[in-house]
Amino acid sequence: MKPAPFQYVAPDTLEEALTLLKQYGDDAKVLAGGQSLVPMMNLRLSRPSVIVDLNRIAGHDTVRDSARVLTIPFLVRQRAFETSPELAHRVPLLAEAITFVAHPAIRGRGTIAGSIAHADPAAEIPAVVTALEAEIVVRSKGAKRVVAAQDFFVDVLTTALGPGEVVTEIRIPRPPTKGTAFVELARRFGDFALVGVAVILRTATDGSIAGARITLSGVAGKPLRALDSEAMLLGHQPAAALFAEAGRAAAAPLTPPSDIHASASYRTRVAAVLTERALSVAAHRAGVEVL
Amino acid sequence: MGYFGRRQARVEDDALVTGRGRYVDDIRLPGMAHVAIVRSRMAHAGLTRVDVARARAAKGVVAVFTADDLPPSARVLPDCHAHPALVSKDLPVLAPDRVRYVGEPIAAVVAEDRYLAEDAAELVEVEYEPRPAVVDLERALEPGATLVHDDRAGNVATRLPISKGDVDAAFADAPCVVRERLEIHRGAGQAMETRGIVALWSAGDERLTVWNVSQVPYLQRHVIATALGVPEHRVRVLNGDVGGGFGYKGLVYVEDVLIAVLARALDRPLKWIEDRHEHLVASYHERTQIHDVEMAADEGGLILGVRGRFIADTGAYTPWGPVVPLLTLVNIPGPYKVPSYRMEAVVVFTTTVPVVPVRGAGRPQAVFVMERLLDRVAERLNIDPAEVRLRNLIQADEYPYDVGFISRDGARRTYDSGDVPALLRRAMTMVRYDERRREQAEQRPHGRYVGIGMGCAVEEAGLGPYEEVEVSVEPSGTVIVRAGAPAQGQGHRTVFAQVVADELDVPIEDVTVVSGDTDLVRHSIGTFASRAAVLVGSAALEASRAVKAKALRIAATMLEASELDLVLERGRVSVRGAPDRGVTLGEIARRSLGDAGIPLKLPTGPGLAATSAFCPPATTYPTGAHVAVVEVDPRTLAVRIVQYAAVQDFGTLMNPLIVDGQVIGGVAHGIGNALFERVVYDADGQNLTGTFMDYLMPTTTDVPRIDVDHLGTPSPLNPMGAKGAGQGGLIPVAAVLAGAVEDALRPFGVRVTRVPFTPSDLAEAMDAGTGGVRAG
Repeated sequence: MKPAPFQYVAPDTLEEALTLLKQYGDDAKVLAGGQSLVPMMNLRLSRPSVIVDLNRIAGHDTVRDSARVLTIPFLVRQRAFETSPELAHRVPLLAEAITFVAHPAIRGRGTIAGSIAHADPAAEIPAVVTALEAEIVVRSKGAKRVVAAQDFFVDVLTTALGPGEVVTEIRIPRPPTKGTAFVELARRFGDFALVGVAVILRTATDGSIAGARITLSGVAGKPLRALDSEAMLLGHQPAAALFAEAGRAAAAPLTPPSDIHASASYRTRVAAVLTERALSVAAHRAGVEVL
Repeated sequence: MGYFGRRQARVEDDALVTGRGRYVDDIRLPGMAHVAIVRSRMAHAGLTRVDVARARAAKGVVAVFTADDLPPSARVLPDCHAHPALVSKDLPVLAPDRVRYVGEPIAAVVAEDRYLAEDAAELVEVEYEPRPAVVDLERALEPGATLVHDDRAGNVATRLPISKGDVDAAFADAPCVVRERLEIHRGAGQAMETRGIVALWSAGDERLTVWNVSQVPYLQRHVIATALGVPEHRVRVLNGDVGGGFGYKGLVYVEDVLIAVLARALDRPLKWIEDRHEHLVASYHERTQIHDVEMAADEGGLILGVRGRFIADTGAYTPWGPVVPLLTLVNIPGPYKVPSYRMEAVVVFTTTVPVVPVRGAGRPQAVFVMERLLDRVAERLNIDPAEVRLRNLIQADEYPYDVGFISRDGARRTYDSGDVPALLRRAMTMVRYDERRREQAEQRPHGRYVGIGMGCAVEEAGLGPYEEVEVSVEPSGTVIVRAGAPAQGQGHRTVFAQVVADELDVPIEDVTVVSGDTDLVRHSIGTFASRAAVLVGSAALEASRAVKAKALRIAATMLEASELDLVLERGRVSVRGAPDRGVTLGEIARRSLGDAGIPLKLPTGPGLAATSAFCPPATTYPTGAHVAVVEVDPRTLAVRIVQYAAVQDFGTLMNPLIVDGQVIGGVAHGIGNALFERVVYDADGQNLTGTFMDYLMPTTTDVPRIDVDHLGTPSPLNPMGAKGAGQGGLIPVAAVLAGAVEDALRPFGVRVTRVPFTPSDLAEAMDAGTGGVRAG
């Protein structure tokens, strides 16, 4: 479990990093937290010839907050959302999901941007940013583009990132501070989820559902929005039977993978249950009564 | 001083928990080179070409070895555990022309560092001629099945029968007969320290020094010396702080011979550290068995007979003989009265990693069989499962209890002492059994599914033939205890010091236990099968008594007093009634060594020391009873262990703190075996669980608080009354949790007939309504 030979570079500025990434193209891999990349390199499943370590680049490790958007630069560690009550209060959905990401030591190194760029379909953070309709800011030498989270994730470990591109920021527009829930089921606490569900519920003054966003992880090659379920909730009063129906609707179209940890039918079953449960939790947190 | 039986904190821990332990990988020798092993990527294939030319030419490579490069004496492992019923197959050190499991060593690359060794290992070109993998045990037995070893028809390594009484007559008239097909799947031991070897050949005195993690260093010495073609005294095996053993380190692996031979061939110190992936795919495994069994009982649930057959997977070879299925065979009756019994074990070769004992060693399977059958009888007859067990358990006044057949040690299986009904009642009290049953009934209508499971076990421990210990006193007053059996974390340095400190009445700080060096004592078998505490402890006790007797005789000379008037107190021998007239043990030791050129003039000979090799007359039989309460989410089938009570009879406890730790660790391992840990091979014999992301160990969030209690009946077979505590915590756990989960899901007709089981498996069984957990 020693990595194949590679060259290591640790630039001091983002510009320098982008220049290196342009120079080496597909041969290079970016190192931020390294919590997925390094084990894959040690198993020789990933064999980059150049590692561009971003950790020496100053000024990208603190969340920026404005009234309209919360910006998470690429060196913000996952654990920041656990240790800062302000951040947890600002994006409770992300903070809640992060408690399910592996274990504290891993969250202390792993970055938000790294989890997104790695795009494991069972990971929590990609599902959450999809539900939050976040924007992923991508830079390359001399270029910058903004990709909607929905479009960023393509398939298993595959994103919209092109050669020489790196995720530099995640922007969360008007993050909801109530009515959110993240639930998941894993073989053991801290494992990649068999199924995870992120829910954002918005309620009208009469208590009816004014908006719903539901994203599932672990059931496809990328985070999936449960659009049918979202639609069937609109305008209705929150109700246990409705949530159960929405859960079934979320699970109905799924064709999840089978592996040694769970069958496809089990993942489908759990997707329905967890969607229902996440909706119920989110409704309670939104302060509305569930009939 | 009263150390024996006390909850004495471990003297080992300060260094270990502050990172000052010394493990094999901490050893760095000048000029040391590193080994990486090229392992088979196929489960079953001929090797048509192994080309090492590119690897030999790679950067930093010292040498590359294949089977042909090894001396003839080091090409196959000797059969270390011969058994009359089994003709073992040669286990090649490096596969010469055929591979039989993924992970089997084919070549060894020696390079200046491990990185370069792994780089070069990738350049070894292996051409395989694929043969079909043999993974499924039943298909392996079918006519025409692919053969793992060409001369072993039907892939049968051996068949082992056992019987007592007229079992068919018992079944013929039985009012209640239950049948089950039960499966226990492959698991593994996962020590924190993987295997590792440092070997140093000293050309000057033609001697090899090996540092490794073995539980059996004296056997290692023998096998390595044989492979090198040198007398045994030319090999020294050392163990530092070893991070866990769990049984699968209790044998000689091909790497043990390989690294030794390479170190001599290259005349360079070598290091090989097994990485975790190698550990998962190449260190030996245990457990897979499929049982077709039935139990006959009368109307009151009294067992009339048990009969059946099981298939036991031994993997590609039999490096520990047929010991695992043999232990299952003799352990199925357990602590219950079984008037008639007939069972056959069919031991089958497969193209998977060889099977050897892992903590529990065949007994978790036996307990799973017996307890699942008892649960069936209880259900069929509508008797409380605890009541069925209490009716069938051997009662306290029936010990010593003759089980009625010859056991693995060649003697009539006879339980030395015990009171398992008391253990079970105690465990039931600990979980508030009657209240829990009421709560279970009350909660079901509210959609909450609680279940209670239980199981009782007996195991053989404290096995012979012997362990040797020397106790000596230095002129400094320090007492040295030299033992052959090495420690892998069990707390030997604490427990044996407790024994000796009491006998010599000295502070425990003055006693130092040293082991893990084959130059220390002449003979040792090793540390496994819950035997070290019983054997080394008893030998230490005997040796320290002899030292005490010697001290009194020497002191009598020194003090010009009669031995009968002397007392040993607080490490000092003095004349009774005249405490000023005395000498310390250190002074006695100094006197015993004499002065240069002056006759010794002592009746005892030189040195204040004594050696004892304790040879137990028979095997001890620790017992245990566990009860678990679980709750199962009826929608996700997630299992939560609400309470777990383990009550053990390990005889007299030498150190209850350490024993509690052994029980808790054992239960945790058992939780792994029930719910998480499974080595999975696909149909092609590929290991799908080569990392800890797929081979799931229970973590702190999966293991609840374990309530431990002890009701010990002292063993009559050794001077301490101890029985051995290393495995008992694990043995019943899988059976207990299977029973508890099934009990929780009884309204849904779920049958748990296999361990480990996942929530996904439970969901499938639930959807099926009846029938066992069969998925995956």
